[in-house]
Amino acid sequence: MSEKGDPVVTDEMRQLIGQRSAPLHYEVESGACRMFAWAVGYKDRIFYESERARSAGYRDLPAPPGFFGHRLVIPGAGTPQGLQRFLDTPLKVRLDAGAEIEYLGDICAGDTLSGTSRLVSLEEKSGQSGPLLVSVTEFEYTNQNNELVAKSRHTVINR
Amino acid sequence: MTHPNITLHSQIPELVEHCDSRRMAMWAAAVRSFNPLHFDYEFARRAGLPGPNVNGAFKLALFGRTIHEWLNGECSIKNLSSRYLAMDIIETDIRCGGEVTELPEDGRSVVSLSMWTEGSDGQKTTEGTAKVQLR
Repeated sequence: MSEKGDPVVTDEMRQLIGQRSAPLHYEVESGACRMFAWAVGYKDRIFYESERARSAGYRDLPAPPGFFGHRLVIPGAGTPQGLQRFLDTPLKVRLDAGAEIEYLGDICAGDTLSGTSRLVSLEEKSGQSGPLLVSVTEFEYTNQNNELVAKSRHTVINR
Repeated sequence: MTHPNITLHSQIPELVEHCDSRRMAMWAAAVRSFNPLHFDYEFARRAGLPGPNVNGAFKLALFGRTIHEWLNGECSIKNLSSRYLAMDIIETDIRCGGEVTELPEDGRSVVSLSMWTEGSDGQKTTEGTAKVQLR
């Protein structure tokens, strides 16, 4: 129970568990792959030069681990989000607690991915600062050839 | 094959990355997510932190780079996981390393790793695992 005595996990929130979001569209652009590689500090030129990537056996620049491309963002129009973002909780401070990624195929520049998310669980815990809401969300990414290429699972703590 | 000699409990060479607001601004651009908590001191202090904190997903991505550089890119990462144990406040050197925890006898299939990061003060801030297909 939160300070006001309201449950941290409401019935309304519980109804979201197990639901899958509408697919979101991700573009894996070559410039974006390079920017991600640069930010992480990769020096291997396969992340920057398509020719080298192909010589190393990739279809094109590989998306570095952890990169799934970008969704279309129209400033001011709101961004489509996964289900976790719809949780209407007074606990507004959002902390990443952990992540898991499983690759079932490769992701390269030029790919377009369709991603859906599913809220797996919601749990109330108590922390030093008071009540915590722990949510686990699963994502699945399918490429332009309808191949499931990756799954990820994210644990978020709201406090 | 340009793999290093891999044995059970082999230590993955540590990678050290200086994480400052510039690095976090680059990360924000890379993921197109601009939460000032990760690069703006004033904002972070108002939120009760000593300074901006390093994104968890950045540390997970560092696991990938650490493995890639250890194996000279002759690998395909199948699984990565992370658990964030503590915040890394920027102006820190994040050390990232790991160890081989399972090694199939043929030496050619999937190798399991445990991974970690620690901050400048030596405190472990992330732990995780990876599964890597050698190429």
